[in-house]
Amino acid sequence: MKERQRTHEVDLSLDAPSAYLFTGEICTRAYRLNKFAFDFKYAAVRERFARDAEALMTEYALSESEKALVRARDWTGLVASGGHHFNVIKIAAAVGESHLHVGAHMCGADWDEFKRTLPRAIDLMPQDLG
Amino acid sequence: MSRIVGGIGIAHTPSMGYQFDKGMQSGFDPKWRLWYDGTQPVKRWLAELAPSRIVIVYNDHMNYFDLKTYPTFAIGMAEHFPQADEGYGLRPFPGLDGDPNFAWPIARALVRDGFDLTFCQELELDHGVYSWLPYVLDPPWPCKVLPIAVNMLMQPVPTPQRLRALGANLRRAIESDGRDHTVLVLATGGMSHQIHGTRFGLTNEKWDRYFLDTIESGLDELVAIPIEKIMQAAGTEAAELSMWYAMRAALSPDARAYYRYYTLPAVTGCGVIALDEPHTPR
Repeated sequence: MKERQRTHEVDLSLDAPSAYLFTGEICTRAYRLNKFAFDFKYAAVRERFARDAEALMTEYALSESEKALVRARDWTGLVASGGHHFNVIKIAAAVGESHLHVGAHMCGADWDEFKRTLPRAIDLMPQDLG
Repeated sequence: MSRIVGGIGIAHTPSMGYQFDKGMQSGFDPKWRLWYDGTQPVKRWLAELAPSRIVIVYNDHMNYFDLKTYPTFAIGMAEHFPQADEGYGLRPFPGLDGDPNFAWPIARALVRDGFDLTFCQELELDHGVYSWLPYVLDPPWPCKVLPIAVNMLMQPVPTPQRLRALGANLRRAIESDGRDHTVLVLATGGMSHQIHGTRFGLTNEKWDRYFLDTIESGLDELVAIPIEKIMQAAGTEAAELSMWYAMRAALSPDARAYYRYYTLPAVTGCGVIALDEPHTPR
């Protein structure tokens, strides 16, 4: 992983870990993980997760490493493994973590400190980028 | 003949919807009060314009379309479009009605001109529609809608040029419709924001304000900016702004801004522009 740039310089990279663009290739590779996470929009799936997460993950045929990331609530790891952030935040919501908590996790930041940094305003114009 | 009477470009974000409901119940957070107050002139303008149909160009956020079969462009042909449950339960608003007798001739004309859209007999609308909707319209919703969903979450997404072409074709399709509808074209996409990676929370008010100022008369200038550069400078999800190009291209070159407003209440730039067609009686 390259060094994380924070507040002082604007990080223009669209590569991980600066950003996680969801490509069609990632979609195909991480299809089962995304199917699992998408289904958290259904209350019945959230209830089954609360009751027996292991059985649910096995039913959706998650890999061992994907299961470990879910157990660890490793939102960054799940997105880095191909989970679309809109899907991963559904799992986070089911265990009481908001979209901003996921953001703090991605930035490796303490929650209270992270909230104070938002929004992270920049004023570069796209036309001025080389 | 149906005709386009105006256009709206407007941001969307889940918190916009959540803050509306909270604001109506127990008073607005001051930052969101600005957005509420800032959108009221649009609401009054829209009530006066009273279009008979609204075409809505928007994107879903894994709340209706799953990845099993993901359409690049999808058009809603149903008589009713329920609100999508995003996992937090439905908000206290009715679904929106559609009109297949309006939708099919439009869809047929779009296909004729090269837009092969996916036809949806069922379509639920998420915060891409419901977050801004109650700021500019009061329920019961006064007119029927035609939603067009655009893939904005899996690369490759359609190009800015393609979205402009969608708008131009929408204009031809609406004007070739034999009924006498007055049509508002609305496009919605978040302004500057990024919600993943270590750049999470990035915003760019300077860009957002430039965009709001330029979309009225500088569509060529905007479309020429590579989408990757917009993503770098204004956050990856600012790519959604390219949907606004479809709205602007659907209106005549002479359309003029009646109103624009911008504020930045949280982690997504919130802006709106309302465009009048020159022939619109006022």
